[in-house]
Amino acid sequence: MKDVEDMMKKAHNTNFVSATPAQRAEIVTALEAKKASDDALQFYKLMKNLTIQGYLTSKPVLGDIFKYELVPGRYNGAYPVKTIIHQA
Amino acid sequence: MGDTIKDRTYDVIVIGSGISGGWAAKEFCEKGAKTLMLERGRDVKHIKDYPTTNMQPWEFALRGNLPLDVREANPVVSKCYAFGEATTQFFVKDKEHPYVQEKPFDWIRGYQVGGKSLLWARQTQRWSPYDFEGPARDGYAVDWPIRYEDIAPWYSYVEKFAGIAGDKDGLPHLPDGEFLPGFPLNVVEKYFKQSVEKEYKDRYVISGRCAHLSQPQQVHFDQGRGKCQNRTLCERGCPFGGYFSSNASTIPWAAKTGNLTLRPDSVVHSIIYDEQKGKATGVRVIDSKTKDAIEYYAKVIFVNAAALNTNLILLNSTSHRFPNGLGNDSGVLGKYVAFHIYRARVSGEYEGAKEFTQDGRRPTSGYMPRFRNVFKQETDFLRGYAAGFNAYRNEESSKDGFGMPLKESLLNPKLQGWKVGSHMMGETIPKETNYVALDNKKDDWGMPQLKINIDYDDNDEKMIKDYMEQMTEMFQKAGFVNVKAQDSKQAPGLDIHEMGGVRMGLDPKTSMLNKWHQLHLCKNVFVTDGASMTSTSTQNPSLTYMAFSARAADYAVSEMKKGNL
Repeated sequence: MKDVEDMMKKAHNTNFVSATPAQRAEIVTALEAKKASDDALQFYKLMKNLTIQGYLTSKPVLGDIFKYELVPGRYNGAYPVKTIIHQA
Repeated sequence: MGDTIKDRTYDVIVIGSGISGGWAAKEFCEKGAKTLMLERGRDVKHIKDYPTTNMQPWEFALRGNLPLDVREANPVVSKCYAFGEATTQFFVKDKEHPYVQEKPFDWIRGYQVGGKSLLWARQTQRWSPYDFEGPARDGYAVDWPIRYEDIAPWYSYVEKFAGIAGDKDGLPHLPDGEFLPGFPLNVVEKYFKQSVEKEYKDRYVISGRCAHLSQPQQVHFDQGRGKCQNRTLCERGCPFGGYFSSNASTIPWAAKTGNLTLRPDSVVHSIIYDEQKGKATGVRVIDSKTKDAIEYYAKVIFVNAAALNTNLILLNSTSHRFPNGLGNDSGVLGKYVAFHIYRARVSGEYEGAKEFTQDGRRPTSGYMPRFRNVFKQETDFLRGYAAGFNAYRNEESSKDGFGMPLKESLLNPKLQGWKVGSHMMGETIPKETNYVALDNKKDDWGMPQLKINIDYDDNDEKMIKDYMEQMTEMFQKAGFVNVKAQDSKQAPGLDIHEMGGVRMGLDPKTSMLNKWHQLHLCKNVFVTDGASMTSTSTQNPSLTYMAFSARAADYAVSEMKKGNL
């Protein structure tokens, strides 16, 4: 995380949280392009994966959009694909 | 509970409240015996004490993950597939219950009322005649003092009460049971079944038999249990009682009789042996909270503390007559411990069945009974392996980029092709050099820590190689692509099927228990959990432990009625 903060400081003399959206996008673009130190990339990968996991298991997404069922009460192992929208 | 000797005297003491202890207590209570069930862990009442069972994924602070500090503090139990944010409360933490690994061994334990019957995978298969005859035919371990015919009626008995789902497959080496309707294989599993059964004359793919109520019967409703709802959150404890556990089934049933006294927080230190009477008279308990020592007395004692803990108690039950542990004149106690090989997996993809996917969830999948060396010895290794087989299809999104494009991708996952997977469950040969023993170090209750010295051998390595080759070939013949075989090289233990150390046998010089699970040299002490196993075969063992317990309890009661115990 420190390495990512260093990147922001070098580029815009501020820290990540205080930066503008455009400045943040610039740093994240560099991380996506793997133009950063190993430590920065490792942090970014971990943070991104956990953020995605948190997003995909949140109530608005997993619950409301993908309609996760705590109690399915069924299994169909030959379910026609064209009838589904998404699986949860 | 009063404090006089009379208050602390029962007809029977059952040590352990897990899957086998629960059955022993149920049988004794139903047959009118005043029964004390001792559990070292805390009480867990069905439904009331399942704190996470109704939680949605988003209600977990870490969405199912464990914090880094928990994983670092628990290197052993963190390896267990079922250990996660929803289930930590039912697993033993490494530091609370240390043990000594003379060789690497991942010992997974659940110390609470119900034990690992809350956590088990619920897969249930009967042993067959070919399994009980194994040691005698192939010349390893010692001959079992029982055969399939002795246990078959007891399998029927426990299956009906517990509720076992399965298909009548008609296989001599995996006998059918008293089944509720089996859970159907999915479209790709059926396809693989057709392929395997066409290409090989003695290999079968069946629906995995499991302890789930696919269609509950009156006896299950009488237990207060209902139909399995396919949640697959079983290890949290099930509010429907949809699978079999001591908590949902045998313990409340025993309690209903009025004959059960359940004492949790009771660490059994040793069994009390009376040298003049020539039998055991009770157990020494250390209260796990106060550390007070208390003695309880009974005519009959059942040791169902789980395989290695049963060994520990018996090794720690020393006296002038038995300096090496109760009934241990032979020196066999603690030795010939074995396990199941769970090291290898094969995975692949199937490009067909594109028009189908899965809807809902299910508690079991496919199972391949052992096909190696069943009717005669055929390979360069002894015995063989069963295998799981499972096909699934899921949606995935690209995780590239950030911002709106990433969000769009995550909210619009694409259905992937079918994936297939198999895992191996291999029999191991019990050896004198695989043993458990008492260490000099003590735990927080003054009990010696258990020293575990168990390892793989050459037979295991050959078997693993054969599984990977055979399953790869079966996958390729079915047209699966991208087939990969992997050996995790994990230490023994994560199978959670460790067995032996107090083995049954015909000869008291080479075994600890007779055909009724009585210690040869102390007939009022019985062992019916995994410690009693003379060989391991390939089947998930819990169903056999249930049948062993019901049969031995029935025998013990009849012996007590005759005045022999």
